Amino acid sequence: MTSRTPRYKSGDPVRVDDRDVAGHCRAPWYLRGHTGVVVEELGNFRDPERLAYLRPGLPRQILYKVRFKQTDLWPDYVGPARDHLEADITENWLEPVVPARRKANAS
Amino acid sequence: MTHTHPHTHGHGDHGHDHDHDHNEPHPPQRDHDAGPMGVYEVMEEAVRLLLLEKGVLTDAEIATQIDLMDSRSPALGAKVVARAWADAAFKQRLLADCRTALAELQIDIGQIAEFKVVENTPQTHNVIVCTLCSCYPKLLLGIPPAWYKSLGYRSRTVVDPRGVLAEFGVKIPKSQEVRVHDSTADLRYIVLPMRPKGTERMSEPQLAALVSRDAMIGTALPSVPRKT
Repeated sequence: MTSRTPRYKSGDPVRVDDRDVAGHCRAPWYLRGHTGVVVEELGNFRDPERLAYLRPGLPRQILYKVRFKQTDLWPDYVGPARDHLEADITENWLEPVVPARRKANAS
Repeated sequence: MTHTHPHTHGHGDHGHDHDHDHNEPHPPQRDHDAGPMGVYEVMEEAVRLLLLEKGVLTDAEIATQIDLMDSRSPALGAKVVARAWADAAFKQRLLADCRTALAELQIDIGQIAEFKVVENTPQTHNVIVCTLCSCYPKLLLGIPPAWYKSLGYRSRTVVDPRGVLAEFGVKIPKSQEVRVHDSTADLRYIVLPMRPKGTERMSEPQLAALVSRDAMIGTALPSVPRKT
């Protein structure tokens, strides 16, 4: 068990890393490099990328439910902008997104 | 329900002597006898026999697990949905902590994965997919349908969920969000459909009969009772 505190909290914008991995991993290709928002922290679980090779899966990874706008994922998405996709992503695949600084004269 | 397994009774006098094949308590049988074994069947058998030979598993444990899987069906999930419809406090517990709420109904979801219930509302329709493999809440819904494991469903549901739902006969208005859940990790998802109108006087078993397997995946809506 890890007592690490989660790096992200609900509402935080996060980007899925787009690194390449040889072998088993659970971060789908179609989400890599995309930005979503953490909607829930789901607890910590053994790391599937280590478990797959008969390792103990440690350190455990904190898992987050991340929500993506469908229109962000697919440029030609046919549904309305209110549609979303959620996936469960481990912390080692997420990086923080610093919100772009708003221009002082932006309306 | 009885858990007696008649096949385990024949070897009592012989103990667990694994050197004698004829004493194995429950030799598994092939599901099909048509044609030569495919590569995955050969692989499965080889791994299974190795696990047995090395004492990692026993025939009886494998048979017990098969029986457990076979004992689960969408009727179990439907019973949970009906309880949630009938009991608002149970519904809140189910949404907050699925494992504990299911234990109230004597449903054990095992240790392989956690379960999570997502609720359909007038604002949101949920649909479940596993793009990476075919994760499915077997201990609540039984064995998944073949289409759930198909490449078509797994790839298209994330790209064009409304199109896939329409092929299932489910038309979601543009005023309602479609929310796809890709079960990429350690959680298994089940959809709690909206309770149909006109069911206010129904008992829980009557309500459960309205809930199909597909309604709990999100690819169908509960059937509406006919006017009598």
